Amino acid sequence: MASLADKLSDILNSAVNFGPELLLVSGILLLIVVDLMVKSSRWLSVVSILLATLVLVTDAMQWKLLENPVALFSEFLMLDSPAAAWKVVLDIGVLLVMIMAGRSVPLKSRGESYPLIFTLLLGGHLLVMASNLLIVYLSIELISIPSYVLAAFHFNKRGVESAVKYLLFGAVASALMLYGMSWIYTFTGNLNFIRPEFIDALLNADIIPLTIATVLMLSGLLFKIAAVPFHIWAPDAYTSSPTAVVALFSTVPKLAGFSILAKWFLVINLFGLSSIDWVSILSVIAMITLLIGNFSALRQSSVKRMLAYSSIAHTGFMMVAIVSVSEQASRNLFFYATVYTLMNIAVFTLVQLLEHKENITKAEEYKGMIRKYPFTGVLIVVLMISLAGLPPTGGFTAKLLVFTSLWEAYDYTQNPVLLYLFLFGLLNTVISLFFYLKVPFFMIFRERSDPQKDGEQKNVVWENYFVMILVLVILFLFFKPDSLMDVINNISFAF
Amino acid sequence: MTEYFFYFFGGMALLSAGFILFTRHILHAAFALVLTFLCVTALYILANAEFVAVTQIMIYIGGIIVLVIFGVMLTNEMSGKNNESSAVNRFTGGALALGLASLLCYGIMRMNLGLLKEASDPDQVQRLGESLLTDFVLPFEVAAILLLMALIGAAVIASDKLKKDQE
Amino acid sequence: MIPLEHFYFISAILFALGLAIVVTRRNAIFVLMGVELMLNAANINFVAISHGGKLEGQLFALFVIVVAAAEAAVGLAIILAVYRRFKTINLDKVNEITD
Repeated sequence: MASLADKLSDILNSAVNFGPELLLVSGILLLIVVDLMVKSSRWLSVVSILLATLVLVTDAMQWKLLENPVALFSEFLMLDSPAAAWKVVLDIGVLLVMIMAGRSVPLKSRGESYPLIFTLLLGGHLLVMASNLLIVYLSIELISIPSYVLAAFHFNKRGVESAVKYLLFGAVASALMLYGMSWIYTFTGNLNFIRPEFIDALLNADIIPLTIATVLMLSGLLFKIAAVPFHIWAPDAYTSSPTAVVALFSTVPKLAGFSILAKWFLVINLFGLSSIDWVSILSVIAMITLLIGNFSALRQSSVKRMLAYSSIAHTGFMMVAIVSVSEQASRNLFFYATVYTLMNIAVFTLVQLLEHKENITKAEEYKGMIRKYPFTGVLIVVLMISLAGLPPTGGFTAKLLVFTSLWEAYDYTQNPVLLYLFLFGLLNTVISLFFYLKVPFFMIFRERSDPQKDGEQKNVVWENYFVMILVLVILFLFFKPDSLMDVINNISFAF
Repeated sequence: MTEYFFYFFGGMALLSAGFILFTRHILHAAFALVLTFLCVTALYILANAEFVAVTQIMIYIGGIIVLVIFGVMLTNEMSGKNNESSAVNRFTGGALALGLASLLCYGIMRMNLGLLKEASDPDQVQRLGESLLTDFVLPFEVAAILLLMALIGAAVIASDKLKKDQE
Repeated sequence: MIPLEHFYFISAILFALGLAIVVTRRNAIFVLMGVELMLNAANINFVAISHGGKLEGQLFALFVIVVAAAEAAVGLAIILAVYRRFKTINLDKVNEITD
């Protein structure tokens, strides 16, 4: 048993490597105070963007300086290079959302939204570093509770309806996960799931209770990434929340969930020694997720709802990388996640812009918009192509990488389920074209209901330039994927 | 002697939880929930976890239940007219509970658990406090942030003035 | 001596009852009560199991109680907001989002 002095010095040493999170916490407190004292929302917005940038910079520095994995706070957290890299992606997501929130009336009219969003980011940071079941539970709650509140931020009937459904669903999912954790703790006597003793104890546990516990545990994680059968909350929450919040929901919690699922999947699979074939089970879940995401998206008229189902389908594609179980697959998942963050936030920025300017939400209402907003229209076309995964965009490269690693996994294990998943994924990419290209189709090939007037050419605002930069990055990642891949290859995903 | 207490409180906890499943009256359900939590508290004491038991009484019964009862009263649904559960629904509920419980109990029987640790630890509270501020300092602080944000979030939602134009 | 299994049996039945309440009840407050039962069930497990005198289980239970309080506060605030707009908290009738 370590002495008290040792424990205290461990805490102090850990705090050194905890800089970005400490910054975040101080920022959250600062934002609460600023919100009380300053009435103008402009200041809050500026402080938030500054804070997000600062956190991003410190995280990037931490990633660059990190040499060996460090255990923090008596092994509650494990700061290794994947965790540092995931944190950077989460930070980028929040920074882009903060910029995007510049036009979000519901977020700006209530200053509390900013600390809530940063709390969500803090939860994401802790989740990607977590190496302890207690921290997994707490950080999932730290992500969820602000999400429930943010989902209601329109404060209209639909807003609170989606919030209450999200809340009840999320509370049940986390209760299921908690019960699973209590059994897993019973088997292992250890909360720290990256210790070898933990894995050993799971190997010795009886298979039936272990399976029940794992299924319960997985349900909480599947809820966070919006995979079937825990996806039902997503379309409602996406349709009725403020668009900036939707951009946040579809990226930060989902990616944090993926990073922990990738870690957990290795644990429950017991590094291939498990007698239950979790790879096949997760592959089937991925297939159903793809199917439900894509086919439901086909029927939607609301653009936000369609994008909600599209993000469920993207969950399916990212799960493809998880079931491929290899270091390269983890890298490809990371690449996919980066591209997904950029394109999703970019497309939601433009949806928010048109919602704000023209008050349109349905795909049909986009008709002829390319003549009124030529710049915006072209950007939307490129982004939809990227979301569908066609060249010449980063979306294509990401899908290609993910399916390459799946094919390699199939080649190696000869598991037929992986082959079905491969074919199924390709088929779904084709199906997704129909709904992704619906919006560009209406924009280009349908005439506007109100005839064009003169002097309407100057519909260019800051969002256009903002999204243009993101689109250029997405295109760049198609032509030079190595520029990002080289960085990713330095991440050691070995467990 | 403790065995009798254990089975008495355990049985009471299950009976009152079952009552929540079948009752129509939401306020009765809330009081049954109080009873369940009290019985669970007794189980904690029998498992030598006095501090958790006290926390359970203070937070669950003193806080959460009061909140729930406030919720019931403010939403004015005490009459229970709006939440009649049909016979079919009750049957499904009962069947589901029975099925899930037997599955879980089957799993537990294969766990090989042994006996409850008997010895009570006199400095348990001291050790808990020390752990909270040393080994568990990170979750402790995270819980603080969580409570702060939950407070702010609840206040934002509750203080919202209903605007006519939003409806 | 009480066998540890019996603690687990009680917790399992409590968990099953909680989940059944969640699944069959349409009233939002009832659903929240069911969730609280499920959390309590998990806590019984955490408190009952003790590996070599370590207090991890009890500490976990304490944090669960804290999170449950936070969740209940936010949950009831949202349920009240729903009631103010829909004049009901029956989840079947809270149905504004259509397509």
